[in-house]
Amino acid sequence: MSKFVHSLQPTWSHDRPYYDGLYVGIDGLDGSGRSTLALSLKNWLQSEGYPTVVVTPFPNTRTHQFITQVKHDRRLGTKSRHLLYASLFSITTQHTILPHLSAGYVVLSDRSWISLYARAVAQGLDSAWVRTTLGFALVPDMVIEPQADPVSAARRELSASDALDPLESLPNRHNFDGFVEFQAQIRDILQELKKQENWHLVNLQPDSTLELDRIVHQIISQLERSDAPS
Amino acid sequence: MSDEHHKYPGCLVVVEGTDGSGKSTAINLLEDWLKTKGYPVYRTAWNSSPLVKPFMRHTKKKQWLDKAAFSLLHASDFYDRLDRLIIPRLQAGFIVLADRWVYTAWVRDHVRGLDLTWVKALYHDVPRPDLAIYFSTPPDIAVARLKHASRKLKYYESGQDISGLQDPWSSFLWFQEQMREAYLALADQGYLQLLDATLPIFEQQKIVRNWMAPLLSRLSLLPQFLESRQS
Repeated sequence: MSKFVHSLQPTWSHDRPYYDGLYVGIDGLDGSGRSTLALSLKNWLQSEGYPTVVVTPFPNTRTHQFITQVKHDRRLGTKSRHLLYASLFSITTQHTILPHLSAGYVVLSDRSWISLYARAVAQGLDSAWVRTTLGFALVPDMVIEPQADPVSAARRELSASDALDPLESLPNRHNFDGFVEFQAQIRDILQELKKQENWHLVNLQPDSTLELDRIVHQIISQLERSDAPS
Repeated sequence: MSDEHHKYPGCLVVVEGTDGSGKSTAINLLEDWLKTKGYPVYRTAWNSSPLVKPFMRHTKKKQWLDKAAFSLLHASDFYDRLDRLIIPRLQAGFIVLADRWVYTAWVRDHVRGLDLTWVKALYHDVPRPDLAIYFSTPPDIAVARLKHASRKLKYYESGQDISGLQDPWSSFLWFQEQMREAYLALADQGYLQLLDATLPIFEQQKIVRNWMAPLLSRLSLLPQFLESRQS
C-alpha cells in the first residue's frame, strides 16, 4: 500500500512521491533498549513474512573507520558535529532507507530524526535551526519508544558497555550524573514531540512478549494503510 | 548570515569566484603584503577542516553524497573552522583571509537544486565579512586557465553529479555558467564587490588594496596587539 514521502520540511522534494513499505522510528533514551527492540521486531516481522530491515542514522560499515574517527574527536564543536550527523543521516536516507521503502520493506530506524533532534537540542543548539538542518529527513509513519527512566537507562548502558559515552552525557560531565541529567533533558524534549507524532510507548519489562505482539500488529495494520488515491 | 558586519576587533576579508578565476593568486599576494606590513594574518580555505576533510574526501571519492548530504557536510566543515579557528582570531585582532565563504554554499547548493532559503538558514549566524570580493571571470577563460595548468577535474567539482554530462570539462563549463549567474545576483544584492579578474594581476591587486585601506586604518589596536605579542 502506497504512502506519501513526508519530509520534515514539507516542501522538500524526493525522486519518488510514494513508497510501499513502512517507516518506523525507534526513538528513546540512550540505554533504553532501542537496538534490542529493533532486532526483536525485525525477527518477529520477518517470521510473519514481512521483509524488514534495521537501519541506524549512520551509513554502513564501509565508512565505519572514518565515522568513528571523526565522531569521537573531542575537538569537534556541537554545531559541526550535529551537521556531520545530519549529513550522514542524509546519506543513509538516500542510499538505504528510501530504496528499501520503495521495495516495500518495513524499515525500522534505530533513531529517526527525532533522536538526532533531541540530542542536538539537549546539547544547547537552537531547536528551530536543528529542525531546519533535518528538513530532508523522513517523518516516520509511526514512532516506537521503549519506556525507560534516565537512571535505569544509565544502569543498562553500564551493564552493556565498559563506560558511559561522553557524547551521551552533559558536556564536561562524563560521569553517571552527567549521563543521567543529559538523558533527562532528552526525555523532556521527547515529551514535547510526543504530542505531534504517531507515537507508541513500549514497556519491555518485565515480560516483553505481549508488548511485542501488540506493536507488531500495529505495524502490520499501518502497512495496510494507503495514502495514494485508488 | 548576519545582516550586519561583525563587531570583532579583527578583520574578515573573503575572496569568491569560480575555479581558475585567479582568486588564490590574489589572496597569496595579499597575504604576503599584509605580513610584510606587520599584520597578524590567518588564511583559511573552503573545505579544509582537518577534522572533517578526511571523511569528506572519502565520501566524495565514493560518490555517495546526495545534494543535502553534500551541503550539510560542507556546513559541518565550515562551522568547525569558524568556531575553532576563525572566530578566536577575529577576537584576537587578526586579519582573516578566507578563500571562499558561505556565498560558495549559497551558490553551489542552490545550483544543485536546494532551496536557497534552506541553505541560508544553515549558516544563519555566520559573521558577515568586512570585505567580500567576487573575482569575475567568464567561464571559458577560467576553463582555459585550468587546462593550461593541467588541472584534472573531480566529479563534484565539475558538477557531474547534477549535469548528467560524461565529459568533465563540458560539465564544468555548464556548472560554472550557472554559478556565475548566481554570484552576479549576489553582487547585485550588495553581498559581493565585483572585480574584473581578466585585468592584469597587478591591476587587480591595486584595486583590492585600495578597498582594504579603510579596513586597515580601522585596526587601530594593532600596535598594542603586536607589543603584547613581543613582550
